[in-house]
Order: sequence, then C-alpha cells, then structure tokens
Amino acid sequence: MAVDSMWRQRVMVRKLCLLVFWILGLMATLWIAVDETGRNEICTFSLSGDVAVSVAVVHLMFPSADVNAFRQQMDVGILEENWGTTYEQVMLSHEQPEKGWLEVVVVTVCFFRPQVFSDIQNYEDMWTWFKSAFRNSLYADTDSPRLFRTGTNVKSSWSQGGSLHGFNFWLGRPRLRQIRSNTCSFSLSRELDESPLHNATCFRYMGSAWCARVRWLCEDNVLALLLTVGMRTWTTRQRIHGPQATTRKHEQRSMSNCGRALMLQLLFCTGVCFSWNYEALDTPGFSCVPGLLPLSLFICVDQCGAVQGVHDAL
Amino acid sequence: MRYDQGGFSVLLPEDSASYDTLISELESNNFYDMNTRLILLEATLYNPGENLFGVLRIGVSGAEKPRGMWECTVQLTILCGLAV
Repeated sequence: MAVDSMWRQRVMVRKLCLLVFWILGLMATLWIAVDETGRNEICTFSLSGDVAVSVAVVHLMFPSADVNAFRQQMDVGILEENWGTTYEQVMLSHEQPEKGWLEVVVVTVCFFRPQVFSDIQNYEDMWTWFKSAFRNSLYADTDSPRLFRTGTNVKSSWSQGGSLHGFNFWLGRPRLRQIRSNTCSFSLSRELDESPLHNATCFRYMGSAWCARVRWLCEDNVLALLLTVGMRTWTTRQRIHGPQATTRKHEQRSMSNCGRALMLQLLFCTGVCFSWNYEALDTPGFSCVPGLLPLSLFICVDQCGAVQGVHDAL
Repeated sequence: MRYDQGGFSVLLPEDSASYDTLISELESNNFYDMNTRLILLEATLYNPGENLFGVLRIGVSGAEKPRGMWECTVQLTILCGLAV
C-alpha cells in the first residue's frame, strides 16, 4: 500500500511525462530519419535543435555519489597533484551546490559550475603545471617505470597511464589550443612547421558572410549532426580546418559497434570532437558499451560558445 | 565577446618524451603571445565501470586581467549513458 501510494504521489507523473517526451522524441527522430537527405543541412540542424529542446527534460537534483567520485578523481589527478591547492581546499570546494542535470534522450549530462583554479596565476605557472602536474597525470611515472617480466620497461604512454589511470581511459588525445584576437602569427606557424613535431595547426573560422548567415553554427572548426535510428547512423559533418579550408562529409554507416557510435555522439555533443580518433576507441574492453539504446538524435556543435562560457567565467 | 581570428591547435603526443619536447617547443616559440586571449586544454576520460564520461576543459587567460595576473578556470562535464 505504501509503495502504491508513493508511486501515485511521486513517481507516476514524472514517469508519464518522461514517456510522453520519449514518444515525441521517437516520432520526431523517425520523421527526420526519413526526411534526412543532407540537401539542406541548416534546416535539418534547426529542426533537430527544436526537437532536442522539446525533448529535453531538466532535473534539478544533485549528482550521484558515483559522479562526484569520478569528478573528484579527475580534480585530484589533474589539478592538485600535491601542487598548490590542498586536498582539504578541494574537498571544501566540492561542497558547493551544483548546477543540476540535463537529461537529453539517451544521455544524462551533469554540468558542474566552472571552478577557479588558483594554482595558475602567471605565464610561468602555466608551463610549470604542464611540465609537472598534468604530465604526471597523463603519463606513467618515468622515474620508476614498471617492468615487463623480461625486465624491459613498459613504454611510457598514456595507454599505460599516469595518475588518472586507475579504471579510466583517455578518449583520444588531449588537445591544447588557443583563441586569438589577431590572426595567427606566421612566424610561429613556420617555426612549428619546421620543428620535428609538425602537429600544430592554425585554424580559422569561416568567412564573415557565412558566419553572419549561420552565426550560431559558426563558432568553431567542427560541426556535426549524428542521427542514429535502429542500427544505422547518419553523420553529417562539416569541418573547418586550416585557412578557408572546408570539407564536407556525409556518410552512412552501419552501427555494428554501438559503443563507438554512441561515444562519437557523446564526444561531438560535448564539444570535444577534437580529440576522438578511431584508434583510441579500439582500446580493448572498450569496443561496445552494452545496454545502450540504439536510438538517438544529437545536434553537435563544437563551439566557441563553450569557450565563451569559460571565458565569461574568467 | 568574440575572438574570430582562429588560433593554434595541437594534439598532445602519446609518449612522455615527445610531450616534454612539445611543451618545451611551445614555450620557447611563444605559444602564448600578445594576441593570445585564451589557452584551452581539453580532454575526455571514460570510466567503463560506472559508464561515465568526463569532459574536462581548462581555460587559462591573462588577457583582460591587470598586468601580470592570470586566471584559470576548470570546467567539467560528466555524461552518463542511460542503460535500458
């Protein structure tokens, strides 16, 4: 009786609302799947955005203990590392109320309020942090490397891992980038090109006319729409890479690897499509996340809007 | 405020030796100069045990602060795939 009462008073309405949203989302997704031809990407983006907003359900609740633990692990591994802020200060900062959850169709996203990291306060601090704290969290300890049974050293790379590698995997390679108020320095570009690294890329946005027309899309160097219905995934991706270089790719692939498809969507949706690569997703044990619903709709823009959010917080 | 002038993007290497070389080169070649407004470090972690994705974005800026003062902001988004 008590359970029935609780169900009627607290749970039933919410579940019914969620069911309605799911049905609406399903219908919209199927309709777009039928209609999606790639001939009018802007229209598809706009329509999909409306659908996603209408399907989104915002839950104001505190994150679970698992999420908090994961966040603390990342914070402690990357930001503290016995360098600067004390662990107690970090724990105190975690007591602050969080922003809440945003549940969108198949993923639950937890946005945390940006935190000020006081350890980097000048130019030298930044490079010191890169050389010490972040390096140790990214790569294995080179002072006392682990050994194979043959006595040879385990290769120091993030596949073996630094302090963050307990039960975590890096998805792709972390990216370091800059936002400039003036055009890219040619001398810097040339110097990097002449270096043995050859992996620094100067990017520019689309032209001002294009940006004025689709300003909300023209925020960064990658746009993508991924639509998954049943076992097939449609991807419309537009990448702006290098000066005035634009490539468009429209592909359809079988979603034989549901984990990969979902992760690509997640990565794109969170604005981190910079770092994905297929090799990273082929990590053993990481090929497929079971139990994920193979139906999803995402509008994914790797945007400087997120960058703007960071900057606004500065 | 918008900064429409692009920037440099570099993926961090897979081994620590190359990482050390890269960071030293970026520092010596003025990766941060007078026209740099924001430096971002972006990374994503996945925890298969909890099915959680952690998206980390660290922004470092000294452009609009009083001379010599920088500020660093950490933004973390965690995603959980909904199991059905």
